[in-house]
Amino acid sequence: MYALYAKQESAHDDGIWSCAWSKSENDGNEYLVTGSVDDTVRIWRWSENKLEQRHVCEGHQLGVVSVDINALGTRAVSNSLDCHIRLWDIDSGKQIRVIDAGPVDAWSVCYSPDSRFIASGTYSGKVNIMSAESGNKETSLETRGKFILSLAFSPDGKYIACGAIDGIVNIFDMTAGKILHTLEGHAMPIRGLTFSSDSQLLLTGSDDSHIKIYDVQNANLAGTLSGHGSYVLNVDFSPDNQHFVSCSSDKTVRVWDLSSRQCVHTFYEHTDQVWCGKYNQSGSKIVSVSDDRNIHIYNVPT
Amino acid sequence: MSGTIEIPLKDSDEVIELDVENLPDGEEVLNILRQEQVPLHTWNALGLEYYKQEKIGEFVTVFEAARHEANTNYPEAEKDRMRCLDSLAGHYVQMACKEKNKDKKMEYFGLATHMYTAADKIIMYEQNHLLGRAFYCLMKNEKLDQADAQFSFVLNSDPNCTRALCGKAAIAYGKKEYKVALTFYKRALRSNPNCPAGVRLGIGHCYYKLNKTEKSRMAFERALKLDSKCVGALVGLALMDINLNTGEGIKNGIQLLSRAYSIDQQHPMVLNHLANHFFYKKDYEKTHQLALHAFHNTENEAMRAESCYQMARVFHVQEDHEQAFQYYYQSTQFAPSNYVLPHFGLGQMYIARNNLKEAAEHFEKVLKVVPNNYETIKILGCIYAQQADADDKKRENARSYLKKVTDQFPEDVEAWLQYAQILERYDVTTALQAYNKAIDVYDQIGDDIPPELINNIAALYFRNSDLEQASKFYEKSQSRIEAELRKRPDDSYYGAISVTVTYNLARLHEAFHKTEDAERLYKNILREHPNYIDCYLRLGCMARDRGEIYEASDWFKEALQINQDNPEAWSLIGNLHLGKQEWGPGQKKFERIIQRPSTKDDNYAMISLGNVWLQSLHQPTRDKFKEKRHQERALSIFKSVLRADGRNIWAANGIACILAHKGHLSEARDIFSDVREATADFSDVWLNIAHIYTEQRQYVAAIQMYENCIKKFGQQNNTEMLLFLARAYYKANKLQDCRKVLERARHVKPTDTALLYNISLVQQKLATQTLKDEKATLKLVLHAVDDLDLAHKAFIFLSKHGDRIKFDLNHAAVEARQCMDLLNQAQYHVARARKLDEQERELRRKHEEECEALKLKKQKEKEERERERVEKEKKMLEEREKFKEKTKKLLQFDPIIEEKPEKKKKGGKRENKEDNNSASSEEEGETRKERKKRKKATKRKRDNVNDGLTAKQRKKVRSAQFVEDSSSSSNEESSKPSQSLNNTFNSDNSDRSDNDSDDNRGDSDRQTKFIPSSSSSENEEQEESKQDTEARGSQDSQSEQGEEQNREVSNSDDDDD
Repeated sequence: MYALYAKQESAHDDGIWSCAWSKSENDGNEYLVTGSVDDTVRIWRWSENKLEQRHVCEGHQLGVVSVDINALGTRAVSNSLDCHIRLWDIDSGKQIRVIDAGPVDAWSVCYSPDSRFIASGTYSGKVNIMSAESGNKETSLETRGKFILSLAFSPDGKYIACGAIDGIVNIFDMTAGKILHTLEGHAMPIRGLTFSSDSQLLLTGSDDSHIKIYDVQNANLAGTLSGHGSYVLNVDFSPDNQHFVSCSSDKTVRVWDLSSRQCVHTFYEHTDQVWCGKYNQSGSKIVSVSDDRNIHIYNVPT
Repeated sequence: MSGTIEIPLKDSDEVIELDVENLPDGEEVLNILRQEQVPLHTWNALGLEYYKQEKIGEFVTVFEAARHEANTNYPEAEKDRMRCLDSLAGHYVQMACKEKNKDKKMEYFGLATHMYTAADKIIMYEQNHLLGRAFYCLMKNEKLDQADAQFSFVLNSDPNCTRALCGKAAIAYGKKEYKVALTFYKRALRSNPNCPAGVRLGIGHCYYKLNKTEKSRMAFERALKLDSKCVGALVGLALMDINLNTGEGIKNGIQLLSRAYSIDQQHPMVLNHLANHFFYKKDYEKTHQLALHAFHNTENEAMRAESCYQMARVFHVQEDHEQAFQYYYQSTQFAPSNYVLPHFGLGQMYIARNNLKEAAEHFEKVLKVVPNNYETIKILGCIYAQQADADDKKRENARSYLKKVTDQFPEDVEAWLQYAQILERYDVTTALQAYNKAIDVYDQIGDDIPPELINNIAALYFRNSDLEQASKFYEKSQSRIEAELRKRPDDSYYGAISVTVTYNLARLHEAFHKTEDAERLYKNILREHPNYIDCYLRLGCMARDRGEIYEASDWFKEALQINQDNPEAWSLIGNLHLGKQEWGPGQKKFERIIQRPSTKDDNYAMISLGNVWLQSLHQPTRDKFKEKRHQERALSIFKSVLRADGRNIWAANGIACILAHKGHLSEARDIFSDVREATADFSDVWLNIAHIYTEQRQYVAAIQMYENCIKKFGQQNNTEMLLFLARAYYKANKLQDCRKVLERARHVKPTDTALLYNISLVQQKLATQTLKDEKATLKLVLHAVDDLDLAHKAFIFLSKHGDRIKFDLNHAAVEARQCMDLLNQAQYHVARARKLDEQERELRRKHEEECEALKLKKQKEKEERERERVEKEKKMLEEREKFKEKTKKLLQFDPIIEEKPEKKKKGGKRENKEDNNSASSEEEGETRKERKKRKKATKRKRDNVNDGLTAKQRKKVRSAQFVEDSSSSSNEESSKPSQSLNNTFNSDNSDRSDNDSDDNRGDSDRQTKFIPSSSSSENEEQEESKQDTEARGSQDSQSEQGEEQNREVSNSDDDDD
């Protein structure tokens, strides 16, 4: 049954732009991390089907653009419009490290699958790879393209895909450190992309309201999905690869069936644009965050 | 007098006997009469004999001669003279009545008058003479009163005079006093049972008029028995038979008419009725001949009107509308006011000529006479419904007419459809109800519902944004079409409809955002119908909305391959140019549309051109003359659009923009308000009103307006609008809000360096304020320093990598230095704040300690009291008497009362201490701290307000605006599938800023419209398929304008400062 399961109203003091959901290896609890225009990162514990706010992490000078959690579920990374990347300890809510990326050179951030690295896109179309431990820049991948809005590692760690503001997607081969494919599927900004858990497929969501599915190996376009009435802001695959979720400026969260390429459910619960939606580890729930300041947790059939 | 007439011979007793059967010819008789000086009565007798034998010529000669030459020298000659004159006069009157030539007629009347006047001089009151005269008056149809008086006179002397009675009856009949007429006729009949058939005929007519058909029939039959050649009776009977409206009746009626015709081929009534009959027999040639004949045989205008009508009908049915028009027209000229059939026909002719206005006038005439005539009401309703230029009143009429029709005849599908169609303009929901009624009727009569109709209903649902219903009906329509096509696979009509429905379905898919499906359908259509231009346009629009400008352009060009003058395609291409700020090429495209004669009145192109000029005003220029010229150009374009279409809100909006640009803000605001009242779906006008508020320094209203606009039109990601909002916040000195709005904008468009500039500027300003505040907490000061640091870095970056088009990079460098200066001073502030903070903490610690101490004390006291109480209670309990128990209770209250004042005291103490700043302590309570902070914050705010801007800051403000204004544009507007009717154009242009308009152009929605036939009998109009082309909207085109406009604004502000 698709249903709104839990709702945290006024979770932040302003619109929420990003979220991440993971299970901690330390204590076995599930944690959510959210980042908002109110400059804070908040850490929530999901237990007994309830969200409980654990920490309010202050430090960012401007709105928090993206957050991610490492594989162990112990650390969170965030970056904001102030272009500082901050690492947080989930358990204590303390800031562990801050990386100043310069005035413009950090947009979305994400952990590599092995959690050793942090990647972030830049103004000039580069992808910077930093050590999660030291915060030092390890390498820089050059797309020679435009501003990178979105980033994703493939779960097997072989690829990193980045979506630019002009709609171009580049897939890097991590081992070679070179561009594997350049996909020109969209002509408008790509705000969300994600790999399937088997790393075979790449989903892209764009301001043109469309979602595209690519075969990573051959860079073939495997499908185009339409249904959203406005920007697609984020996409996420379910762990079982059967479904994926998308959220949009049209205030909806949609769940899609991969094999049929059809939208199987639409949640109309939010009252403002939905910036981010993610599956939990088991794929039984979806979280979504919106400009309406609410966090929603949905039940989805697995 | 049978047999012979004797002519006495002069001076002898002999007579000449003339055999009546064998009268010699006139001259011979005359000669005899003259020679023999025969007395007048003989002349008379002879003349009358001639008359009886219908030898009219002889009759006249004899009588004329008799007047002068006959021998009147005998007694009673006077009477004979009278007889002579009256007979002649009577004859002339008859001749006059038969005569059709007006001059001759007058001549006869003149002769008759002459005779009567001569007779008057002889014996004025002779009965026959009077009667003759009276009938003469009656015939001339003028002096009815005189005739009446004369008849009455006669009746006075001879109450049973049949002729006088008949005369009175005729007069009464003419006055429509049928009962009176009937009494006179009856009197005549009574007094003279053998009276001529005419009396019976009159009775018949009276009964007929009195609706007593049976009696009427009897009277006619009797009249016919008396006079088998009584045409009037024949016609009367015939009409009654025909009106029975049975086959038998009509047959009899026609037989009777034929009989009448064989008797009198000239009788116009007979002719007209026969014509009518042949019309229904569809023997149009005969009809025409008979009617023409009738026309020429009567002077009576009503009769002629009928003849003309018959002839017109013949032409009408043969579709010779020109001739029919002529005859109908003639008929209306002759027709008495209550004979409305020719008006009906003429109205139909006007419809055929597409002159609905005239047609309506004629139908209105019909309706005046027969106010409940269903067909007329319906036609009028339809006419008003379809009149393009109908004003509201007429539409209102149409609505009420059609409502009347549908109320009266709820099974009339056509009326329902027409009614629904007119309702579409007012209220889509009720229109849909009407359509559904029509469908019910179809269901009831078991007819198949035309798929066009279902399609139209679906389109209406679509327009009403009820997409689910629309989808249902489209599918129904399609399955109906498929069914039809199965029956007749080659039917091109249904094939064409099928294409339209497919197109509509594709539009529906678009509305559902199923662009893939829509694209597939459009392409399918194009495969079979490569000339379906709308498909190219939609495909282009979809590409455009995906941001694929080149592909969009290709599609539009494809459309131009089919029709190189298609204004929509050109407009869409023009908009693509404008969207890329290619003003020149954009302008050319619109000019091209206007230059083509077929599209020279294209309002959309005109407005777009006006907007191009308007937007040129927002380019920074120092050339005042040029500016003025452009203003005038834009103005004249908007004006001419308004002239052609007084309700064009985009033109009005444009004019208001120019007004605002010239500084007439309140006038501009009035117009904008009007526009917004006219439609709430035009975002630019919201923005423009907000801009005006900003200009007028009503920032709260401006902010509200911007926010409402963003919310209503779902423009949360429209960075341009966000920038306007930020600017209003900035001006209202709500910097925190301003900052949040800018952050949102930057989140959407991180590449926009102008946004970065603005955020940095706001950060800098906020930090400056914080640092200035002596009482700012350490936390705030540190935050401010961090802000400054960020701003500093950003400005350095911007001074190198900023977007030169949007702001002056040197400004960024200046700001960077400013930040640096502030940062240098910051150390002092930080130190101060740190000190303050330490003091604060100390204070708080002390306070805490005190509190703690107090708490302890209180606790102790409480314990003390408790102990006391318990002891007391114990005591009391020991004494178990009731009175004492009461006392005990009182005592129990005591401690509580005591407590209250104490608490208060404590609170006061605390506050004092705080203010004194005396104590210091390390400990701090979380809540206390919070509280303090808030207090400080409010204070700071107040300070800001009082502070006023320093010159330097003002300078900064200015540059800030500068930047703001030059924000970038966003091209990512989601174009809604707008559904407006023809010519909904959006212009954008808003006063000094503004924006984008929805794009409609190309979102054409084609609907097949079903137009019921509007004329009742003959003139059926075919269904038409009407295409509602939606307005093509421009769009993205104007996004840029706003910035430039803003720049203007900021400049002017500077001046003010």
